[in-house]
Amino acid sequence: MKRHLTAALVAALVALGPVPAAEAAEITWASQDDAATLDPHAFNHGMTMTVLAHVYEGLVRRDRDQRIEPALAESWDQPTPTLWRFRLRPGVSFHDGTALTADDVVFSIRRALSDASDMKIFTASIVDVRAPDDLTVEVETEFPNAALIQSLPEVRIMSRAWAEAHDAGSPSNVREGKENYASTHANGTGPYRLVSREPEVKTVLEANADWWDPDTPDVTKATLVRIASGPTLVAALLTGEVDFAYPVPLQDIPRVEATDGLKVLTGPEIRTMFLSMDQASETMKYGSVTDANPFRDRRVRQAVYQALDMDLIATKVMRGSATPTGNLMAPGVNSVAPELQARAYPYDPEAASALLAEAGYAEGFRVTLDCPNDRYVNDEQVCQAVAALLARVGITVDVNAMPASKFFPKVGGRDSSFNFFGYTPVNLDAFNTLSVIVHSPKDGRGQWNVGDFSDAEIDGMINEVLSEMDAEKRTELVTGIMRREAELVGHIPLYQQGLSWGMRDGITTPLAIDNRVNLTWFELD
Amino acid sequence: MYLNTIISRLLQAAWVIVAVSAIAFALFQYVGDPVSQMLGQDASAADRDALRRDLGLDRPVALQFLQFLGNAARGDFGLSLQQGRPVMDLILERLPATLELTVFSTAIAVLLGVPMGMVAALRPRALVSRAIMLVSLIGVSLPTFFIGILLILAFSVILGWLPSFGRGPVADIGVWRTNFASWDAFRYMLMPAFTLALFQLTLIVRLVRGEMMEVMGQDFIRFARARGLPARSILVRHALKNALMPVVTIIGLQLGTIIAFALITETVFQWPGMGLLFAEAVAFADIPVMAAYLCLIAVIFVTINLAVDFLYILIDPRLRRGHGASR
Repeated sequence: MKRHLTAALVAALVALGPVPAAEAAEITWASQDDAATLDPHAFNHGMTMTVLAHVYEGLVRRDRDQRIEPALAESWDQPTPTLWRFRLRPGVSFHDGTALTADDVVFSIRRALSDASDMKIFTASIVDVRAPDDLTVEVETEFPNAALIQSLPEVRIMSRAWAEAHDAGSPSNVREGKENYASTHANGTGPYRLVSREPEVKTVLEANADWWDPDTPDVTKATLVRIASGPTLVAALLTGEVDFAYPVPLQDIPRVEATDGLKVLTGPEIRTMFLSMDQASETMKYGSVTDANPFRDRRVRQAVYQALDMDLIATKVMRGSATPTGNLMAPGVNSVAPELQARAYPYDPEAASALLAEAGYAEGFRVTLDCPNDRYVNDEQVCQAVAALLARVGITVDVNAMPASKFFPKVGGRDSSFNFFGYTPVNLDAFNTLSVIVHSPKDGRGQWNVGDFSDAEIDGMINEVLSEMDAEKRTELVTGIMRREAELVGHIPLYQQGLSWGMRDGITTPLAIDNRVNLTWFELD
Repeated sequence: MYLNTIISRLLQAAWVIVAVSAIAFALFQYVGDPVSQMLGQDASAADRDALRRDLGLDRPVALQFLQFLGNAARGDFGLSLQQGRPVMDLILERLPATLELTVFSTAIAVLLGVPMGMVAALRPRALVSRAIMLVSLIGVSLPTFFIGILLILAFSVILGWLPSFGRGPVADIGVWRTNFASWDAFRYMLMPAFTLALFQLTLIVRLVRGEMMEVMGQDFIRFARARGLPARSILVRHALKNALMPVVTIIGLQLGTIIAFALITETVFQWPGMGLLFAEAVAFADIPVMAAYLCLIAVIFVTINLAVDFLYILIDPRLRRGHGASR
């Protein structure tokens, strides 16, 4: 009798339990991050772009293999090397019902070019944009730009009438001390329309029944919730409160995989992690050598490279989720040849010690390694591992870990001798990384080349990459640049960070190398 | 007659708030650069400088502080750098979540803590009392985030009884968003509230136990027994009433602390309250939100202390003339 009572009680409590996972076509997805704004041109930030891509579209988009395919533009051609002519898809309308015209595209590209826009990296070469008729858009670039089409998926098109009616003609908001209607409301042409949004809490999307693409998505309604705490995110996945959660913390991947009905998709992300060494300063900013800067000596840089065991870092610190690499750009980046992934110099601590002795540092030296502690997967632990490995060849490394809000201004301001950094080319094109990371810091380039690596020959070759329209020749050029960069040990590539998407078994989706979830690719059982 | 006292107290309170915001502004120099979080990695140096200039972050801290004071005096706390919405709107949106959580957790702490403390005082050697003291020891020593994670593991992951994060299907009553309108939403509050209550609960248990033990040994209780009053009446009407005086004071003063420290609980359970807002603001270096939050907390503390001071004035006639011997 008593046992029955207990059983009944337990059954009653279980019945009161968590809401069962939503019906087949509705999903709840959780992320540790949230979109920062819904304005399509205000903030070039991973999660923001992920959410925006469901509501807004560009002239072109990427397919499951990251290749460019038509979206709002049905076709395009290049009458001259600096002129691109796009034919718009007829019959496309915004979520509020107004028809898309070439004027909206002109308006949106100009908005993305404006001072307050954070999308200028994608529109940089554009000097003029015009609409000869309602369905034709002409884009003129300053010089032949091979990467333009690679950048256009991120230049999202909004309705001029809607934006102007709501005083949202510019993406600026905070800087003018006023709210921006477009940062909390959205009106695009995309596969999902915005139903409601509570920033940092929940964003509800509903499939757009009038979407132009006949390949309608399986997911008809999606609720994005933010769960910043890793353990709580995993718990929500384990209990079935969410159908999809990312990133699953490394230490929890086996736990989730071992749970019935759940799986984790893992694979290399396109972000490459590397070390930068200050090669510009005459003397070390943060180190024991006061009369010289050891990092200016190529042999010292090579010694650091050869003292580091990337395989060990990838298997131990990153628990097998990282992919060691010898290149600053991951496979999958446009114009990058796969053979560049092998490391340039083998792991060899003895050779490293010999090189240090040859350079006059037989006793080693002391240096501070600046490192973020809330930005990348296991960032601080990786820096500790680097310190431990370098200690073996006599280089004493003090790890200086700090939050991202301090780290980026510090290294960006060149106030660092040695640091741990990660980069994803935002348009998945080699020129982006070459321009931002490898080019000398001048002419608006080399912005995150925080070690100030500089080589005139490489700078010249990067300029050629920009306008080389022949795909094969362009790949050869990039290979040549990266071979030379490795020879000079401009940076020390470590590994590609790993992706980890946790989900219930009923969901099938390709893993996007840029960590951008695309609900239209979800197939539900 | 005691208008002077009240005015001087109010002036003191205003100074405390100004001092708190001044210290806060001095510290903001060290939390990092919001501009690096507001633009993508590829934004140019010129763009960053322009944004910094537009936001006024390139001006000396003292100047920024004075402008903040000026605007705050007019009730304008500016826009959140992270969300681009008025800071006051954000705080008012998040306030109900935190208030409901803290009030409910205080209720749990009082309703459980007082009887537990009494039992522990009246039967100190009983097994149940030892168990109570053990629980209070655990409550005092385990960090809040750890208790939260343990609860999630037990009640969400293993047992599957309670939801693990968020506020759930809340109801809007006017501008107030509540978890009390339905059982479905109420369930979401159980674990966060209990996590937050545990520390307070142990405090109350220990306080009530100590006070009760002391009161029960006093003469008036013995006289009451000698007069043959019923045991129940002695316990509740005479002993507990006297033992609760310091407990009430402590609970009142603790309320401010609880609101301020709901931060950790809110982070663990992704509870969209002010604490979570503040935690996010710190990571982002969102200066307007941090400044407003710290001022608000200062106001809450000062208000509670003021209220206590005024109550003392009402209760203690010596303080009314403003030259009381006790001060």
